[in-house]
Amino acid sequence: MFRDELDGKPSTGAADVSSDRRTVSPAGERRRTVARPVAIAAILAGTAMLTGAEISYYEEALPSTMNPLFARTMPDYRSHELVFDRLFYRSAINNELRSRLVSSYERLDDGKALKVVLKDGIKWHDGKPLKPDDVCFTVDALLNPETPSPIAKGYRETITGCETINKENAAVIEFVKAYHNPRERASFAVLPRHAFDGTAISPDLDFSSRPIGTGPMKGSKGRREVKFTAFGNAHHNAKIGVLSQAEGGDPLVQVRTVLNQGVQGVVSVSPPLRPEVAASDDVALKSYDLRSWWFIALNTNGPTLGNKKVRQAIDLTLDRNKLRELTIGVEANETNPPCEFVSGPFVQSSPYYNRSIKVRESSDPAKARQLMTEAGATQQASRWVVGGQAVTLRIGMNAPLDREARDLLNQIGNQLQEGGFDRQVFKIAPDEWTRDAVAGRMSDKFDALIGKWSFGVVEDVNAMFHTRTDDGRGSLNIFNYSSAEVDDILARFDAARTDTEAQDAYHDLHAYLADDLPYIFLWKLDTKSAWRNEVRNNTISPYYYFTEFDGWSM
Amino acid sequence: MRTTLWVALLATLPLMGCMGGDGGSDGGTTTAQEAEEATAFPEALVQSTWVVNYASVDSLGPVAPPGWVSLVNHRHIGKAVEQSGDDTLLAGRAHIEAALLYEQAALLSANAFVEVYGATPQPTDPVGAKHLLAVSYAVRGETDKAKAASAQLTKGDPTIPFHKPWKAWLEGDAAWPPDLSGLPIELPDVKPGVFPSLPPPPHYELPEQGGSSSKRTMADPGALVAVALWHREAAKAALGDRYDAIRAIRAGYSLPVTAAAAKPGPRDPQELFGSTLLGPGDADFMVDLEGDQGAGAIDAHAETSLLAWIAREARSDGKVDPDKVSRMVNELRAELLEASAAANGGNQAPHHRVFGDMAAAGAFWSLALAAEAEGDRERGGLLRLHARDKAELGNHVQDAVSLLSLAAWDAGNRNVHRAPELLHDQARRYPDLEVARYGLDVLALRVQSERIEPSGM
Repeated sequence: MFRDELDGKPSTGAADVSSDRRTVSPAGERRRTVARPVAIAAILAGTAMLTGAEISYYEEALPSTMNPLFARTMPDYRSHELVFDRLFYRSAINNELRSRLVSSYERLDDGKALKVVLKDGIKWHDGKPLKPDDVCFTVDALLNPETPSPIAKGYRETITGCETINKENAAVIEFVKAYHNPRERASFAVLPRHAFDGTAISPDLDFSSRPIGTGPMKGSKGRREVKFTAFGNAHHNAKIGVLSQAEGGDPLVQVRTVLNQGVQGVVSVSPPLRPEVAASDDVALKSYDLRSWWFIALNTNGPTLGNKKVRQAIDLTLDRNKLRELTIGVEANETNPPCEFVSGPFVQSSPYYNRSIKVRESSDPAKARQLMTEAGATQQASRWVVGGQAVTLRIGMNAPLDREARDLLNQIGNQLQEGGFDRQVFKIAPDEWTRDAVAGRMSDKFDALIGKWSFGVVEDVNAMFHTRTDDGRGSLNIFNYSSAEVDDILARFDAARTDTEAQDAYHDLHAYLADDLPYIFLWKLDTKSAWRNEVRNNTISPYYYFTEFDGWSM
Repeated sequence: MRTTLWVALLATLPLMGCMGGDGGSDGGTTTAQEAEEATAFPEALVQSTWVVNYASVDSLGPVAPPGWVSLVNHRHIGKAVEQSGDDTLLAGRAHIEAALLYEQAALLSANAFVEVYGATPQPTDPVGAKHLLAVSYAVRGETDKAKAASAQLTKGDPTIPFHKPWKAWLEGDAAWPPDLSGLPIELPDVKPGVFPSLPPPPHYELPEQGGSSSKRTMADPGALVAVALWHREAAKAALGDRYDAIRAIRAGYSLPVTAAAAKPGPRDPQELFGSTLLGPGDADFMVDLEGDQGAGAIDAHAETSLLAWIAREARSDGKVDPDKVSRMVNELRAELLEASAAANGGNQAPHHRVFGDMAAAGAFWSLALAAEAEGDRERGGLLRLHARDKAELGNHVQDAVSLLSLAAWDAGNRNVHRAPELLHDQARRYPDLEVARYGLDVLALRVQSERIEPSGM
């Protein structure tokens, strides 16, 4: 077995792939140095529960599932990071590609396969040992079309299978083609084979609320909170004994509670409240790197909004400066606001953001009126009427967002009302949003839906804008928007052979969407957490948040 | 009256003492911290900090002019340059900051290009990548690699006009700085108080190879180096004999290719005012830390430099421990506030907390360099992240040079989460930094093509 040198970085020894930082070269020497800690940890694992501090924190919402195969929300992802180990992950600090599960790896067949040898002594939260079978089971579950996993697409396009070599405590993952760094494509959370009947996994199993992982914390989801309890293991040693997650309600209450020591952390602090946190000596604001942009999806299949001119009129009716000031507390002349307008489906710092498409900051009522008139609408008593019927927009919003940007739903409704559009507004519970809105099942109930999308490093938006198809494309297409032009552009993106071709395709997508407006693009909003100072060494990992949780202490 | 202006400006900050924390002790009340013994900082070193020197409201006069407020309170280097007037110290410090801003942007760009076209090349990489690599290696001080890349440029390469001065430099003695006056970019004659602009990018288009018909638009990274060199000359013109001393304030932030800063560093509180250093001995410590002494400078300077003292006392397992540093910096901030109040007739003034924040953030940035000098990138990185979190407190701790240095470090780690946002934030204030975005874009694209992540949440 060797360490390949082709992963973008020269390898630095087996310490690269382990969370412990032992320097090892010859395999035998490594076994000797690792044996003792593993044995001790295995004993600890037998006792399962470790003592430690108890802390609690507010999440944006409770996770919709504790099964990582069915993660659909950021609270899902963050919670799963505590309970499961991804086969490979990136350090939150220096971005090294590491594994807590793998002691060594080998790139086979010039990168078309990856052999991973598992560390000894790792146990699942029910005490059973981690085996190579578990790795291959997870791969098989991801690849099984009967597993309706929203995260599987990338793996299905990349991985072809997995074989175990039990005598070596190893698994070999096979890929569709040779990759210079196949470990990058093996970042899935590993699941326990023994907890499932087969590789066709349903989201409705008990596992989704009482998961079994190998992560630092054992998790259990209740109706009002999720409780995480430290689980000593060969590869984890969390110093926080119990972590309680509750759904954050009123943002002011969240902030006051953390300031008054009622909880130790808040994952997302509403921007207007950040100065209050910053002024405290006991609570620190922490950067949480997440690419999030907010939008209003418009029902392009509806009788009124099916007309592009009406969509454009609505866009011109909105005064984003005022919206931002009223809901987030950012004034128009701020030089470095936490909230920055976007004109397309990417944050401005993204290479996919098309800078030639300017953001619209203010309303243009005259142009909006002109477009509505061209669309055949007439104005009666300041209300737009089409075909004898007043234009009434049913607007829904993912409820937690109305807390992050205070009263955004009503403010948007008010502006539209002022512009002549009758409106009815509704808050949608997070689980309903995840289950129905994102799945395209609210087309007959709403004309517009306000939401946000968050991304890690990969900013693939094909699922939001591609026509929904039986083979899973367009799986996040909220109003089942369908455009042949957009599908062509997305096909170009998928087929791109070079980074520039992919970038050009998404620049074209940005330009097209900014005109066709299946979404009205609002803004990118920085996410900041607040944690009390007594929680120490609490490094927050980009996107995944709790990747370095073992280091957190009180 | 100027003092009044300064105090009035500080009073506009949302972070005044009266706004919060009245009930809590400065530095935080923590269970674990209470159990640990409080740090006894050397009194003399605390008293000699610029923070305590500017504790009394009356002492603020020399740093009350708008240019100083721009440089320190608003961290707006461009405005500080333009408002420097006949204040040569302000002009010199501001031009040095500007030079380092562009140097860090050049380093960021260089790290990105090396990661893409050097570490993970593709057959389809564009014509011109060799020029980008040559400049990048040169900036990183890898002259042999720069020469090798330069030698691979072929006829018809669109970058040739931009490569010409680099080629001449690499074929000569390759002693920094290169003469970039031959770049097809016009800069005004060097004059302190001027903040020149670059022609807006892109500067050229590079055809992709290997059957692709796409063209990559590109900004020339040499432009960033040219502006940085321009500001260095402006700083020299402003500071004259004091240039080397003032430059030492920012030891550790120069390009790898440039000569290390030299001792002695500044002792005057105004020369150190609002910097990432704390007191008179810190510049010399940082110079030695980045120079031949390396981590040995920590022990050598621990009696004369407060930063070195903290680095020494915060060790565990023989190395600077970020958790200990974090606790000690919080304690230091509290002690500085206390000492400031004492120096101000027993009264806490609004600017004390502001200066305390600056000192705390500066200590994190500086101690990150100490941890790196010990060879521990992870610990150094963690301290950089602590410093970045401090930057959340407001404009007065938004130290552009340090934040861009984190972005450059991240780019060298192929971290495209933080680096693009950090650069974007600074480019909103300094649009010429967009030049560096072209390198970061190609890195972000290359990394995205390597990863599997869900579509969006």
